[in-house]
Amino acid sequence: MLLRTPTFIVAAIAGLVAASSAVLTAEGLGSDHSTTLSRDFQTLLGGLGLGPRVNLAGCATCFDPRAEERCWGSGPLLTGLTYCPEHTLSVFAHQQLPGPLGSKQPRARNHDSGEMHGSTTRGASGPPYRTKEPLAERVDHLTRSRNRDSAAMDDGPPPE
Amino acid sequence: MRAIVEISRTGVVAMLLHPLRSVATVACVVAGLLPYLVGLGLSHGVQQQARDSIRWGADLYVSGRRFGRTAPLPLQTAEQIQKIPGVLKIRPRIVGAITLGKERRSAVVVGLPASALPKSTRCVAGRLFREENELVIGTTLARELKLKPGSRLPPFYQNVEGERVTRVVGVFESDAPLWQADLIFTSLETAATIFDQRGSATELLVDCGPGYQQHVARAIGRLTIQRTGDTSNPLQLRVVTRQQLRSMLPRGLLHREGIFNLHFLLVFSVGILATMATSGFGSAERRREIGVLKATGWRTDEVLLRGTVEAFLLSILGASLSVLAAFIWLEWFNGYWLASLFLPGIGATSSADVPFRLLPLPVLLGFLIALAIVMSGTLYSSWRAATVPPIEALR
Repeated sequence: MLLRTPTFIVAAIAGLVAASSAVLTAEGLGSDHSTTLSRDFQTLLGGLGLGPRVNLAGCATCFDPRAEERCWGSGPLLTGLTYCPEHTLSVFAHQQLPGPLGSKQPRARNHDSGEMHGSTTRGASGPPYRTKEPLAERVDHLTRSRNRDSAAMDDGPPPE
Repeated sequence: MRAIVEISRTGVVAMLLHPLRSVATVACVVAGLLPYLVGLGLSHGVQQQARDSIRWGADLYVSGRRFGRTAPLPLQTAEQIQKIPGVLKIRPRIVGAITLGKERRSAVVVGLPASALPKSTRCVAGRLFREENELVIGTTLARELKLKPGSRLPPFYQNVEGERVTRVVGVFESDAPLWQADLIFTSLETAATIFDQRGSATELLVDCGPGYQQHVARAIGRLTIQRTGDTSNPLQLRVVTRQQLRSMLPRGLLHREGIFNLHFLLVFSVGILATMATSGFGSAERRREIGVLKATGWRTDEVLLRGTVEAFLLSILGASLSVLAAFIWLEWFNGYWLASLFLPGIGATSSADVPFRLLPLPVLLGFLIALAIVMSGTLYSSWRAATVPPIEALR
């Protein structure tokens, strides 16, 4: 009969709320043991793992974006990353690495030499190709030099 | 005030009047909230471990880049980087994928120089490797391959110089971070032998002096690496800084959690219909009950207060049970089956401890959603019944 009294029901609900609050408080404080293990593991391996996968099969980015820069599994599908099965219900997956050395990043200027990082394509030798020069000017410059070369060829070989 | 307390008390009695209805409503709330809390709990657990990975890892990660993809580096690169002012320490590391046995079991091989290891560590049962062909393995691999410290492994790789028997000298602790599960940790030389790639590393871990990180990263970005005997194809370098990794975490996870919340909003909106059905929407019994109350002098606001108390108690009961069930599922049953949905490759029964953190904010959000669902089920039907004449309600 006691089980049917309002007082008992309210007390039982209060007990459940107290228990769940205790769980949340304990979870919020965290465990020293797991923190120590995590620190030891990461110090030992020099930082390994960032995503939800436990191995490199499937999508290496989901294991660690340091190992592979982007997800190659999503294919040409529009917003394919969202549907990539390795990205696990879309909760944890990381996007491409941000920062000055990524693909879509703002360029960082090298103050020593004045050249732009991440924007220069170097050959095996020779100066860096400056992309800072506007494209229209480059096209104009190339056209003029090409016309000059053609005119020189039409004039025949240079005199001895 | 006394009248309000008395009316609230009748709200508790209303829960007991129809126990089956109350149980069904609480079950609906738990069914919606439990996977939501477990999913976000796992997400926060992985986030916490990812933060530790960035915090205790190296300052810079340098790897090669060919055809727009990550490529290994010659070990001589370390000598060039060492000359840059501000560089304190460089450790070459190999991280590679391997498949084991007939079952084609995937594993991650990580190789680091034995000289770079600390003298002792608490995350390994047994000891760390000291010589070549000694391995420390993850808990899931150890369980599946039935290995323990002292076990010997027949050659599992191919090398032009011949294969060797390897010995397991340690197993990672099960409550170490998630990424130890399928790990084979060994010396740099053994890892190079396993992959038959002597003189290469997949990345260099660079530690810098305070304030030198950006300067060193820029200087490394300017280097061009020439492989020995291959002067025509210089290797570009890719540098990942700790700062980049730190800024990546919140950006990616917030976006993804937004999508996850949106998915569950849809689930909850379906839950509203289920809860409306279980909490007595259109129920003749509830109409008659409210008709009797109205006939005995109850006002509409008192009927609604009674319904509100009932809905509040049902939703707080559902939310509390969901928190406790999520905790028990993740802590005692190690996220049995459900963790494998969120963490691919971990399996339905994992030997490695599943990381999770139940935080108050998602629980509060879940409780508010549960309250909205139950309220919409109970209050609307109570209001409909309370606004008609008692004789109509009793008919």
